[in-house]
Amino acid sequence: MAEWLDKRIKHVFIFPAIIVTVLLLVFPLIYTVYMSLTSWSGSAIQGPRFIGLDNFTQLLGADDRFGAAAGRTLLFTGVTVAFELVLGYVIALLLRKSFRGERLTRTLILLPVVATPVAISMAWMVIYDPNIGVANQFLQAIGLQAQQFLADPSAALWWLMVVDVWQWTPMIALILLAGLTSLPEEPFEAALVDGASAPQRFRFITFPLMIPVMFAALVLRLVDSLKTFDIIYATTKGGPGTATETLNTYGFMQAFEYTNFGLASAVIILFILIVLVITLITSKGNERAGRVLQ
Amino acid sequence: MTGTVNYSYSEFTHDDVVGETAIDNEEVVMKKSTFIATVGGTVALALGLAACSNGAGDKDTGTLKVMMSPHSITDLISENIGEFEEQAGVKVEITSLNEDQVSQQLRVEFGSGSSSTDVFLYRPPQDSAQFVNNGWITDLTDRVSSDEAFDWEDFGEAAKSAVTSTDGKIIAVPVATARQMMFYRKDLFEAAGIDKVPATLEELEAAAAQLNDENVSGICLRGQQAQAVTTFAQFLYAYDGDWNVGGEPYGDAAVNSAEAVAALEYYGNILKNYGPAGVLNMSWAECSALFSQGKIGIYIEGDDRWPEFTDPEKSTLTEDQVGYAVSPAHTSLVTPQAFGIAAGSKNQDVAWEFVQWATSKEMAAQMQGVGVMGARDSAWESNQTKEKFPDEVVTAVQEGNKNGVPYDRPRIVAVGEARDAIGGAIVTAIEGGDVTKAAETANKAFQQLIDKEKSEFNID
Repeated sequence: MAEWLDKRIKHVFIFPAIIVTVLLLVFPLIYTVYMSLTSWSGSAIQGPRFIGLDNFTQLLGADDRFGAAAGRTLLFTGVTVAFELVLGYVIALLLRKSFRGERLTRTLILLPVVATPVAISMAWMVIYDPNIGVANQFLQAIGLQAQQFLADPSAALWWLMVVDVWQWTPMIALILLAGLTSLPEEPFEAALVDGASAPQRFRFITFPLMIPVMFAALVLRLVDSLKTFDIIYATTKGGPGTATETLNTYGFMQAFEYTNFGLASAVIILFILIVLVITLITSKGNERAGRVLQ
Repeated sequence: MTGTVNYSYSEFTHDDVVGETAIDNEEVVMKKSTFIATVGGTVALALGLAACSNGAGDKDTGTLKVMMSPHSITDLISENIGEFEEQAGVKVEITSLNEDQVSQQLRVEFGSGSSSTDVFLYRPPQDSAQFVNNGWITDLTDRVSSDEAFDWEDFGEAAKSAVTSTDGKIIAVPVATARQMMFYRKDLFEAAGIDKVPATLEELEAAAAQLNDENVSGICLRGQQAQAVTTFAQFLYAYDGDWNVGGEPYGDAAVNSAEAVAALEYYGNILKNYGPAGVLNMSWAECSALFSQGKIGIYIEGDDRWPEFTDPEKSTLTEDQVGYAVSPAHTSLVTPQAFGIAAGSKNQDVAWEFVQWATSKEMAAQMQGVGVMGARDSAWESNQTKEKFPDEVVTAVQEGNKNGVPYDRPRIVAVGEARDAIGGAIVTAIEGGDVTKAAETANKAFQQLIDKEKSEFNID
């Protein structure tokens, strides 16, 4: 008996975790899948009607807003993550050598990351205000034309990307900085002995060694950026028109503004699929990069 | 035969609750409650949001839960709540959320069946159809008419019609009304040599053009997609347009009519040419702020905003600078704020007592005294009104009441979605895009919503 228990005690210990996972993850997910096959407006009188895949065919076929929102989600994620990686890398390289005020700088750089996104959004709304904001005063001071910023349908999404890059680049920089400082010293010493120049050392040693760290940062940021909701909702609510609507804000509108719970669930299911595919591709890339290194 | 009830053409009679009572359908409600609770939670989780409702509340503990938005009405009620608590022997708990959040919160609470709210201050044009259709709101017809001291006849016609469902049930008691009013800068008019306050759309455009310069925009109207629909309504009516053919809530969509397109073009042009930068992101809050900062010549908005523009704490303008006049378009009359009682409330009697107290003649007169534009005719005759309101404002209100249309947006359940669709055409008009095409697109989307509801609620 004691032996039996010894062998199985591990299952007992993970049981609470399984319950929590099922309750908070598996059940809602399955339920969302079910809801996505129904049509329901939240009525106490009219129950959900099972309509099969109609929501999906509507979203993928007739619904222009969905396609446009998906495109914007990918564009937003692609551009912000690319900028954040490059800028983050540059900042990490600059911060790598120790200098006076190093700790203070690192602390300051972290500020955007720890601030509440909604508070940040409010601050940027004031900055971006076309009539009283400092952004236009700055642009005009350096001789550029005043902008409409978030009120310009063709540019609003790009100005939101600026906010995202501003907020999250420091985090990437810190992750990469941690990677840089933990690189082994031997290859660099050997390269110095062999007379490699600084660019050569970067190209042939630092960069390849950093690839796994960069992938870690990439995956982390990619998933997060795809999910961006707060800065968009707090600033433009997807507007002007639908110019900054992403899958997240579209799903939110469908659920809580229009009470189309079935359709909202379908949006979220499709969104999860997109995130899943992107994450899979990225982790495959990570594996391949790891293999090349070996 | 449960289930097929509609807002406008109901063939059923109901005792307690408009639509169908939650009580009549307990089983259905329970089933649906789990549904919405789960899907609500799931979607919220999937979106990375915190879950919304704070669950079951104390329904039978002698606490009356009231939900309102920050407003002078709320301030006055909070100040005097002790009086009511003593009279009724209950404790009142007031939750204050902004208007959109009240709507959203009530929808989630009612839908999930976990509501603990008894009374709520809400916007009938926005939410009534949904609340009635879903059986979420209590029918007050008998209550209002059985109480002589309460004097239902004292409420203005348009205000009453805005809280009456189309099958004739009174579902709420209006507290404040609002019409579209034109606020303008007397000093700027004088400086620009405009001696006549615009009374027609042509004169409005001409004045906006004359006032517009580097420092001041000629005019501000809402440009934010869904929000703009409210302000646009008066222009639509001015061009003899309507949301639907024949003005019936479920008539064919008509936002692509020649009249509607002309109205869209007018609205788009005047804002594109003489509106402030960034108008596409502006609702009343942004426009009001700019007007208060002296950056706008003419501003048309709900007249309940009037006190803030000459309030030294909120505005740089003085009483000499701000003029008030009836909107040069037709005015659309709305009751933005009315008290409703939740169908699921177990404190129906106390809830009604609260509504009676909060909308009584005495309270209405007091509210006028802090600048609320009350729904009772008697309140407009009160001394408080004479002391508080400038004559110009009272005149504009009375003029506005004459031309009032009791709805400022489509009257269907999916009003949010309809406003977004129509707002899309307004945005295109302001951007200077193809208005006819945008109106077609909006009309198609609007028609789809109408069709969907007609089949869902068996409307002919």
